Amino acid sequence: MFQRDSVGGTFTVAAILCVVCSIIVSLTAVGLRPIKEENEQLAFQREVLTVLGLYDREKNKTEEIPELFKQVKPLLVNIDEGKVAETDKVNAETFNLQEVSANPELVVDIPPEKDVAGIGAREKFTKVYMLTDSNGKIDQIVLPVRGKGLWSTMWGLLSLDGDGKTVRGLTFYADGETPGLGGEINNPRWKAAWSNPECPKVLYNEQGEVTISMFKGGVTCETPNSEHRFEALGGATITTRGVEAMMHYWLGDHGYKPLIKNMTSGQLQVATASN
Amino acid sequence: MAQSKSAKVLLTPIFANNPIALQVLGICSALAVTSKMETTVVMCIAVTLVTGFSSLIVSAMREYIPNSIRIIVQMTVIASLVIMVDQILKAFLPEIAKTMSVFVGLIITNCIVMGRAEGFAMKNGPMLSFLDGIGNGLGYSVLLLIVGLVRESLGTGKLFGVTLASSVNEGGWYVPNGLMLLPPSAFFLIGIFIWVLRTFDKSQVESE
Repeated sequence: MFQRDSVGGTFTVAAILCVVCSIIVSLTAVGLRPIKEENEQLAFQREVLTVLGLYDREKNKTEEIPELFKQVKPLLVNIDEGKVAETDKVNAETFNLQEVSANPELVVDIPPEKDVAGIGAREKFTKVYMLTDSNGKIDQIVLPVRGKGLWSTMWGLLSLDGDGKTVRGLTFYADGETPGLGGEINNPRWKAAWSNPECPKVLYNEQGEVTISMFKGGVTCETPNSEHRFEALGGATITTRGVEAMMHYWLGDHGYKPLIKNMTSGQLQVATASN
Repeated sequence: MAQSKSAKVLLTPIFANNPIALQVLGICSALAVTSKMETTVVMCIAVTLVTGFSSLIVSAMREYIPNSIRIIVQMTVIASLVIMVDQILKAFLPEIAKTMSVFVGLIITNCIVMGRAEGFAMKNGPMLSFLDGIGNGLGYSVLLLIVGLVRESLGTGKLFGVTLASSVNEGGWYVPNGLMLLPPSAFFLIGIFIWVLRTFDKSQVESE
């Protein structure tokens, strides 16, 4: 006779419930995993394509992403040396930036006085994405960047022209800033200013110093020095400072400067790396 | 004309016995996800389905649940359902799932779900419990949709992402109401809703 409230009965019910629930939940998670992974990969590819100017949310459809992405050449690089990575510690195919940047063996600590972006440590290797023209000349290179905002770390992609100093685009694919305030880093109008061909942003001055800085009161093509200025977001001082600091870190000596130097002097070998 | 018991169980929680407005349960998620209609609708559907099905399952099991682990058994059923909903959302609506982040998981802690499982499903049959769960979910949804409507339209000038009044950030005329973007505004709106509801239905006002 099944005694519901006996010790034995209690254990039996608990055990059966746990087993059944575990099985159902696991089956759901495992069954849906391929779809989720595909979604994540497509989402990231969409971000890369958007910052390169090859994909527009209004005009293109998700189905076009794999085809469009074939034009993009991913490359695993060693950031310190600024050239193609020669290592077996990471694999170009399975490279996951979030995982790598959290792995203590694959990062270098950033000296506090250089860590303006507030990220603590920087990955040794990263995957950049290049667009080359028919002669093999680099048209744009997409560099993963990140920096601390007000509430969160803002993860973004910066598309740099082959000349190594002109910005072709900037986008953030993950952030936790306040919607309507710091969250305006995702506002299409603010983003468009980074990819305006009529007055593009230039990141370095003649002396090779990083000069991009925020400017309160709006920046248009007529604003003096507009190529070195970007619009500060109203009500989002700390987020805006975070964006500026992010640029200064990643374009500086501890960031991508070695890589950019090698790229502009033609020393960056575009070896075939798989996606 | 007397309503059938099923209809009564399904429809009462929408206005006459609204879980948020009268029982004042489940307010937390109302604050967090109502800044956009898109996430509000997804949340409403998720909570309604979870409440309905968890009540159904708990009611079907009620003869076999030992008294000493009653609450934990209910919690396990609710948690399993919520995890499944979360996984399904992440797979088929990844953009919305990202916006809603932790709040889907927090449905587990939503007092309405647990409240109906313990308060109704333990004492009633499966079909009736299912309807009661769906009814309370609908009551919750009505409130959330109203709050979401007000918050998104006044806070961003858009509804479901479609621009109604172009905001100054986009070169338009409408200055968005910043208060509406912050969670406390949901508190104010819920308070106003309760006030309006009690003006029309005086029976909901507690006696002194």
